[in-house]
Amino acid sequence: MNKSKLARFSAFIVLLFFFIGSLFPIYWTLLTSLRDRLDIFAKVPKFFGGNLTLENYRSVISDETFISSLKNSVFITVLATFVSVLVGSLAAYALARNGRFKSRRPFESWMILLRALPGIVLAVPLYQMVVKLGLYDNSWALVICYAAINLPYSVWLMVGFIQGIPIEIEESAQIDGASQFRILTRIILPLVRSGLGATTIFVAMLSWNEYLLPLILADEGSKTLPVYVGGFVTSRTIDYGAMAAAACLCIIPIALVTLLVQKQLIRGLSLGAVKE
Amino acid sequence: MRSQQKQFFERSDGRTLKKWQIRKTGWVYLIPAWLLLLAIVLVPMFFSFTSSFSDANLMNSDSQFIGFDNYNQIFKDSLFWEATRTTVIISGMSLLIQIPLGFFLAVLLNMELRGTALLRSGILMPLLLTPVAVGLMWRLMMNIDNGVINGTLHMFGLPAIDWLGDRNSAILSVILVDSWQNTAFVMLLLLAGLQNIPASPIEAAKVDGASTFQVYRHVILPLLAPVALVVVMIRIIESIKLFDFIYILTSGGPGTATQNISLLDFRYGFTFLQTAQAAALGIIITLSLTPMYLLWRRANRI
Amino acid sequence: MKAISKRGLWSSKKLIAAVSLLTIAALTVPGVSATAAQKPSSITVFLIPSPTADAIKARIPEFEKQSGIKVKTVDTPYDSAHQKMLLSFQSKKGSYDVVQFDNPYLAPFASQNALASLDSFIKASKTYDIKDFVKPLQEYGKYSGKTYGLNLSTEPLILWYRTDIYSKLGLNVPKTWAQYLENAQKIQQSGEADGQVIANNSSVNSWWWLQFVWSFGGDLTNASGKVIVNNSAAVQATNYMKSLLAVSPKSAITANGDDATTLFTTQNIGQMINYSGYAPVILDPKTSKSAANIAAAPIPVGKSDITELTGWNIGIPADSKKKEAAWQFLDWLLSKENTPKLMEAGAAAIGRTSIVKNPAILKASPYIAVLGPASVSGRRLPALTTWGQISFEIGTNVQDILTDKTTTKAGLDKLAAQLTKTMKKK
Repeated sequence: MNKSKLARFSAFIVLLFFFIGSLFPIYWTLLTSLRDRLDIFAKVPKFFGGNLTLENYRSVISDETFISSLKNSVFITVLATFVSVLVGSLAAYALARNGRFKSRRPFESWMILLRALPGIVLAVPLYQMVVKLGLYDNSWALVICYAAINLPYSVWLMVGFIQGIPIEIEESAQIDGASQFRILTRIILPLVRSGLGATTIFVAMLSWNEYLLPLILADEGSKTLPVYVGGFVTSRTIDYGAMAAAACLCIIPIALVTLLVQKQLIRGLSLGAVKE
Repeated sequence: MRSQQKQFFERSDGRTLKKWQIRKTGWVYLIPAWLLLLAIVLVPMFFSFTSSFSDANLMNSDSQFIGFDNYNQIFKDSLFWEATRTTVIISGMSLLIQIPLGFFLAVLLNMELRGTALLRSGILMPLLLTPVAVGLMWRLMMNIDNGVINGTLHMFGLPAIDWLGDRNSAILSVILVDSWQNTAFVMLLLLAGLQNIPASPIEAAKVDGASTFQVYRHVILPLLAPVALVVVMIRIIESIKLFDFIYILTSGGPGTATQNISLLDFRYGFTFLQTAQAAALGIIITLSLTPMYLLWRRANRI
Repeated sequence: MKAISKRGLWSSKKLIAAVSLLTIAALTVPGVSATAAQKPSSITVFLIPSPTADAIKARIPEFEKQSGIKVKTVDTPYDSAHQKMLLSFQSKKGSYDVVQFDNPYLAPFASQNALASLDSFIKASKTYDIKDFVKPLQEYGKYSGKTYGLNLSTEPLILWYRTDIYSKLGLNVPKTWAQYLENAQKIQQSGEADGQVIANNSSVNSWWWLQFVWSFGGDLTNASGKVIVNNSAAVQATNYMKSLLAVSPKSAITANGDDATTLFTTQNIGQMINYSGYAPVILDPKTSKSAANIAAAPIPVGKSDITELTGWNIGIPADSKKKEAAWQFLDWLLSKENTPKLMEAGAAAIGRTSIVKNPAILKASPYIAVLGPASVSGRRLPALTTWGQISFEIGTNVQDILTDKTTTKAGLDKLAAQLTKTMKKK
């Protein structure tokens, strides 16, 4: 008994250590956002307090580019995540359940090639294509681009989760007369809920923080938050305070989504999804 | 030779069903994915591929076919070999840290201690910070003169570390920031994998008298393998593509000490304005990552 | 069965929620911007985030009122701005009518005729008055004899120093590099502050390095085009640059221009060699700890008194479909009469003779007096299409020397080999 208690306690301490380590830079970003320039560069670091000011937040929130970037980010991330996870889950279902069909191997290879390609190599021809089609600085174009480049994640993650469901469940449903589509939506979907949650978190995270594509393929109309935050790196100065404020504001929506979806994760798992 | 497993079910209403109708129609489920790929990836990649055989660049509008010149130039370029070496070091060490550490954290979180949800959420946070902010904040914190990390070391009487100015520490700094962000990714996925493992095999093993270590080695790890292999594959690919925060944190410096292959590709394309050369290097990188496909096949065999 | 139907219900709830969210999102997102269909009386200005860009934005409403031309602005950070402009030029869609760019990119832009020549506009203008600039500044935006960019800012390298530290230690404003180093050593030894700071980061140190090379009598190439970055002048210059490290703060080795300014304005450092364009940050008490005690002077001289000249250019892309309107904007923005107003709005100084000798302006900002002589002995960075790669090669090799990865001679020899190869490219 004592040994187990000791083990649990040490585990807690270790986790706490990593918890603090993970959060400290974020905390520091928050502190920086509340400080003015001279305090940010003070030689002796102040971990708490000092002169705090909301000026950085005031200037960011009153910036209409921030508001429009926020709207764009939300719009693009929500849609891109939805499309990517939907398309990816469909593909994952086929890959997970079927042994061999002709287009399987090429598809799998393309998933890897797509992620292996450095962003810059994709961005230049994409730019030329997008401009030719008149889709430059277009939020919908960005949605499709994000969905495509994050597709491998959706596929890879969902394949794993779908494989975790024993085939017998589907077979018994098939015997009972369920169609393919019904099996997918009524049986598989609910059972992979936790996997769907994890996949959605990741694809949302990737989309939310995508930097290179909106930088190259958009100007002001479809500017997203990561590019907006990048705009604080100006020539002649970096406004660390305002940048940190923008970054903190930027992290809130995605953090909320993550925390909310995480709750689903816990619930789904404790229902004992797959066992008996 | 496709194995035509023709098994039939007797339905309760007397009709017979072919087992796994989906086997024939699997490709239908892939159509939306192929469409996405075609629009965004296949066409641009094709253009990149063809342009890699030309001398296209941003400095003038015409370009000519030059065969394999770009590829030859790259293989003769000492920058390329240096970047490859740097990439192997950075990615190798990052993986050696992130995978075991992520697994370790996943195991701890799986113990369902009090406050586990809060701890897990906290450990996930690094993944959520926007790339520019990650680079800039760490650069701020790692400043040798007035950064908070050295300030803290100073408080404990420890000597300051030249995080960004010394060639070796710079590499460690990059690995540190990368691990700070991506260990969470490994942890989350392995945790999901651990929690997906059914309880019965574990209990059966325990009943048979297996120690915790043996349970892990013979029951949990094999069942975790598919997820773990996918995680390793993803981390290898993404680690080699690492670019965003390295550019801001060190600019590939000091000198070219932290210039990995992706950063070099960016240099070719955006600093030297040689887009065709960048495309060629991109193709080289992509092709060199095709062995990852084997990892994927392995993961899916189980 | 019951369990499944409950979950089935939940999954359709999820579907409904998703659709509602999408509908709301679609309805609240502002209209997607279209690049086509711009009314004839509107232009698009491509800006790079900077004090000058902010000033331009501040001046735009007045222009719109006076001219009836609508001005839209677009921001892109420096590191990808020029590449985006180049991609846009190559697509020939006329997306931008006015572009702000940094002088080193004049060559890649102009060599492929991506910019419109402005000479005829300038000649016809009654308000621009190019003669108000000294010769080096008249040539600043020229490539192959034609003007492709107006001067949007004049930013030579100048010496910034702390008057309080100088007077405390009895130092004089250095006239030569030797004196500069001497001052720095005295300051460092006194313990009051670090001696000096410059940018050593491999992404930008080429700009400082070239200044030292020029000062010590060297150059990238000699008259016949041979690369001479490893001759004795360059070796001396590089060794000098290295000797400055001993009297710099420790983080100077990775500092870029902005970092150097930050260090100078928030720590105690006696001297700095940096561009005059940093004046707003350096002289504002809100951003600079010792703003009241900072003054500027021309940079020290060596064998030659060449001063490196940098600064923004602004021009009209060749593929713009509204060149007249674009010129109307530029002529108004940068006319002899309106330039002071632009500077009042926060832009970096522009080196018109009428400005650098204007008593009212000099009274408000004394440092501007330095721009006059600096421009006369000014020399811009080499107008080479391959400057991007050249700068990178210089930067990495020089930093290898500075961090003792290699000796000065060996490092410069390696650089010479690389540059010879690079400069052969078209």
